[in-house]
Amino acid sequence: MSEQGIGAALTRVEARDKVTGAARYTADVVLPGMAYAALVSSQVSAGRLRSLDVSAAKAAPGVLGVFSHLDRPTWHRVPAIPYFGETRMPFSDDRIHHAGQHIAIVVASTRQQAAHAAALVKAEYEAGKPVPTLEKALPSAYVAAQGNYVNFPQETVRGTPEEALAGSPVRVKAEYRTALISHAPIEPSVTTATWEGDELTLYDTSQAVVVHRGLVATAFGLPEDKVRLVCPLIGGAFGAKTHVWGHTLLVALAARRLGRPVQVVITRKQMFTTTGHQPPTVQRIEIGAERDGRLRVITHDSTNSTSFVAERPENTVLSSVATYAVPNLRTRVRLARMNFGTPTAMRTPGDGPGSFALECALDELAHELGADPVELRRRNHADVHPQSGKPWSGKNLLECYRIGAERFGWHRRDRRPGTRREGNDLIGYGMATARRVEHHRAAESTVDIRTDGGVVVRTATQDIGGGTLTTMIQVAADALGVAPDKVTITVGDTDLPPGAPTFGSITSGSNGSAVRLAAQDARGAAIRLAVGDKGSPLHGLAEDAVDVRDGRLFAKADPRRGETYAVLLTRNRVNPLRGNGKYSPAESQYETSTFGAHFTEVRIDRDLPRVRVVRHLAVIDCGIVLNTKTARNQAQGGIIGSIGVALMEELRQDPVSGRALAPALTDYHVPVNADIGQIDVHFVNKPDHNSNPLGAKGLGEICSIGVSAAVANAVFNATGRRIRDLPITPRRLL
Amino acid sequence: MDFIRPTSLAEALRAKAEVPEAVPIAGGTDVMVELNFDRRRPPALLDLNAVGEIAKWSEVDGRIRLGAAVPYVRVIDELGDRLPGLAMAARTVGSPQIRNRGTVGGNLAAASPAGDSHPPLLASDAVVEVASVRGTRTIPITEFYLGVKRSALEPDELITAVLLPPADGPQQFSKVGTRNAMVIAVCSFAVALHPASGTVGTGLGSAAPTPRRAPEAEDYIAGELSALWQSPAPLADSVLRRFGELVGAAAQPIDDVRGSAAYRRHALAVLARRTLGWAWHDYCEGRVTACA
Ligand SMILES: Cc1cc2nc3c(=O)[nH]c(=O)nc-3n(C[C@H](O)[C@H](O)[C@H](O)COP(=O)(O)OP(=O)(O)OC[C@H]3O[C@@H](n4cnc5c(N)ncnc54)[C@H](O)[C@@H]3O)c2cc1C
Repeated sequence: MSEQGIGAALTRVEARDKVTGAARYTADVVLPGMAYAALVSSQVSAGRLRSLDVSAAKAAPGVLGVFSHLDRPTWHRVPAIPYFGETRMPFSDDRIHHAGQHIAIVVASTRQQAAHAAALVKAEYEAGKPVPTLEKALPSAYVAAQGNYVNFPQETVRGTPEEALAGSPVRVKAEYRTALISHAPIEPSVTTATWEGDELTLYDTSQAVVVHRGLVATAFGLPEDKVRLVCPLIGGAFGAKTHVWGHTLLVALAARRLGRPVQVVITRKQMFTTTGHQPPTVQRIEIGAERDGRLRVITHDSTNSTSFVAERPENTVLSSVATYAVPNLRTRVRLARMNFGTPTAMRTPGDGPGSFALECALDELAHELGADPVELRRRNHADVHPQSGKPWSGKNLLECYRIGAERFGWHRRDRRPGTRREGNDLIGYGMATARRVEHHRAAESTVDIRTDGGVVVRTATQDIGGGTLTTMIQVAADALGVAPDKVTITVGDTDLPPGAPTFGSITSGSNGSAVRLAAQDARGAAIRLAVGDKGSPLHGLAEDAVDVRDGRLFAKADPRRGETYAVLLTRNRVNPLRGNGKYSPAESQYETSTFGAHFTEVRIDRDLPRVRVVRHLAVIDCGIVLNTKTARNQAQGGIIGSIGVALMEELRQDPVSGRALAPALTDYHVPVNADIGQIDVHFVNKPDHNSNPLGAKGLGEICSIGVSAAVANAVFNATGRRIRDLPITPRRLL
Repeated sequence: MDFIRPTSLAEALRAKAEVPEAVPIAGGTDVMVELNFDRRRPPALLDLNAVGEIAKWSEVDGRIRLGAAVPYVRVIDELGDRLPGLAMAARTVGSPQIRNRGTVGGNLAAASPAGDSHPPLLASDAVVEVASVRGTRTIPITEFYLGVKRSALEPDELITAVLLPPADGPQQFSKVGTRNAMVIAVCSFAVALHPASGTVGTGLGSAAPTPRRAPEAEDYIAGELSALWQSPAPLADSVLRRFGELVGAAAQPIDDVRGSAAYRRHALAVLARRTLGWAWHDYCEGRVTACA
């Protein structure tokens, strides 16, 4: 197999289009006769609509239609959760479950007319008494029954946790809180819907066109092949586009009623309230250990908020279940309903907030024991999966620790907190482990070799900004033995072979495997064609006696003997030669995960006390790296996002109504360039072929997991103050 | 909505007199946000971008006359030596795009307590020049701010310029935000040393309903420095701290999503202590920004 393509630091193929403005996003779609929609939001967070007066809106200039629950939309069925966000279909009744809930959709000839008319819709409410915050919801927290979103064990017991705790010579116990945070992608969610008879085409900002097509089909009672979803490029998603949300269905509904294409661009404010968020969590952890640091037991109790129209637990406790070798364990997840929008997958669902709690607790234990935090983690390394006992498909976590500690200069850390200073700055080092389950999904792709030597990859996955277009090209180029610049790719359309979703770090491994299989199929077919073709210089050779490089097939024993794909196919009049790839993950004897270690240096202005992450190093074990440039970029972005989670991100709520206080980027802060110090990323870069044929695993999430804990641990090292609530603001440190 | 685009100041003033509800738009970095958020639906916009008279700066009678519509980027590039405090503040505004468009005049008219121009303008006794068809008048900066987003500007008036003396001593500006750029100040502070008059000017931002000075702190430090202007010597830490405390005491901050009142008061004291320390250090080192 040639080494062309994989791992090369290629610039992403769509980079030029993106920076010159040539790139076409979903909001750039303009269809003939297209109308524009605006969604009207509920002003109250609980209760019901007493009346909805749409007469002024209907009479406003340019308005084509106004729809609400009064029009009794007939949904065929509620699509399958989890990838439809809620149990309630939009407009199905007059109930209000959260502020910002869609209560009407206004369609007009221009965007401005729609926005104007939306402001004329008059709602009167019978306001209920909201459960405004997680804090207020906690007393009614409950353990959810399995089903829908609740697709992992809500309670896990291993060994005899209570006895083990009682018998532990060293114990630490603490409560950690993470904040309500929001995806805040640059591109808001957008849907354009158009019907032709009973065939629906949706241009939708979707992280999973194939999955979403099925959900939309269910909602409208259509066969799947009557629905087409198209998603050209995504301007950031971070989980906000993993699910089908109400606006997508409402726009399709309006388009059907009006008999013309309709587009909606969700407002920035609606991005904060109607396309999910990461729910706040309260997590209690207790650890019992031997004096030498070996863990005897962990208990991890976690409660997160959910809405009144969805039960969605955050799998925070998996961190405790699956990271360290601990013989006794008890975990429990509870839900607490509040009147806020429905939570969803965000950045690193579960392990993001979960690793914050666990990895801080481990730091507390290290401090209690006077142990080195890296050493403590090494000592508790899980050689096999601690719950299932299965072997790992590939795990180089010890190497991550070793490389990380060395490159970071971890030995310079002073164990006594608050001892390192420089001028006004307190200096601290912190670290944390990262671990993420590697998910697999079935995926298909075709790879066409054309008579001009060009190659086309077709697969219905999508690029959400992580470089997927480029890495898939590299995978195909590598397997075919052609230069990557000969390969083009088409994604984001359900008319293509069904690809993998771009969430849950699935794309590289699963879709990459499908592309690789397709390319291998095409390559094999070309070789068969050549060795069986009297006109080919390779005629008569055994298939495995032929190799391909730079688009040229040649005899391994005599490289001068050969011909290019282009010549072969032209002579045989095969255009294109198509390879098919179908990856279906099989039951595995292995547990597959990605791993990493984060090391961070903070400096804290003693008086103000603002935390700055001046230096961060991540060592990541995600199998083979497909493109070192896009991978580094992805990892740095993930780390920066998590520094935001650690230090500034919080969508604050009104304590009485529960409404978001400042649902705008003016006050919902993510880090800017000036906040970010040096960020180094090192990849272990060893293929994990037990995981999938490609040997590559997901990177999207592993790079973020543990960062907030590393920062909090560094803050402790710098100051001696243990901040257990995110974000770590100056107010909390004062 | 009407869009009025005068090409001279006289024309602009006539338009403003005729349609006092017309909202002037300079850089538009506040106005466009308000329109976008539907906080405001004015009957007309009065575009000042073609009014040449207010888009330049000059030196008149020993003072800098900074046209209201000069963008921050020019303050930074062209006036960093003469108006160092204002230039420092300008550097912290928004992002390059905002500094290319945003103006001191717009900042003044918006009169947000968090505006970054206000502290340095207060610290150096700026004067706001406003005009209408009735004539031109000047308003001392301390009388310009009347309340949260309210100023002494009359409905038919436009701001034409700010007048301020070039620095006669070191100046400093410092701002605390919840991040390092693109951020509204949690609080900000400016200090200007005036060796010629033996005084020190201060300006506090995001510290009260209006930007304000800290007169007690100014008096205190003027007293402490009176013997030191001629023979500069380092200031005792206790003096810097006392100055900081007095600045903190002058604040009347609020709790909001950006910070608590207690944090603001504390941070102002820290900023005051530090900026005075830096400015005085510069003075001792002889790094006095020369006046023209
Ligand atoms: C992303 C972003 C970041 C920002 N960051 C900062 C920051 O860090 N610090 C800060 O202080 N501000 C910041 N701002 C706010 C804004 O940029 C400043 O207040 C700027 O100084 C406004 O100037 P402008 O010329 O754009 O004003 P405009 O938006 O044109 O006008 C502002 C107000 O002044 C009035 N006005 C303008 N010129 C005149 C005049 N000559 N006479 C009478 N009235 C007039 C307008 O009618 C309006 O009420 C930010 C804004 C944005 C959008």
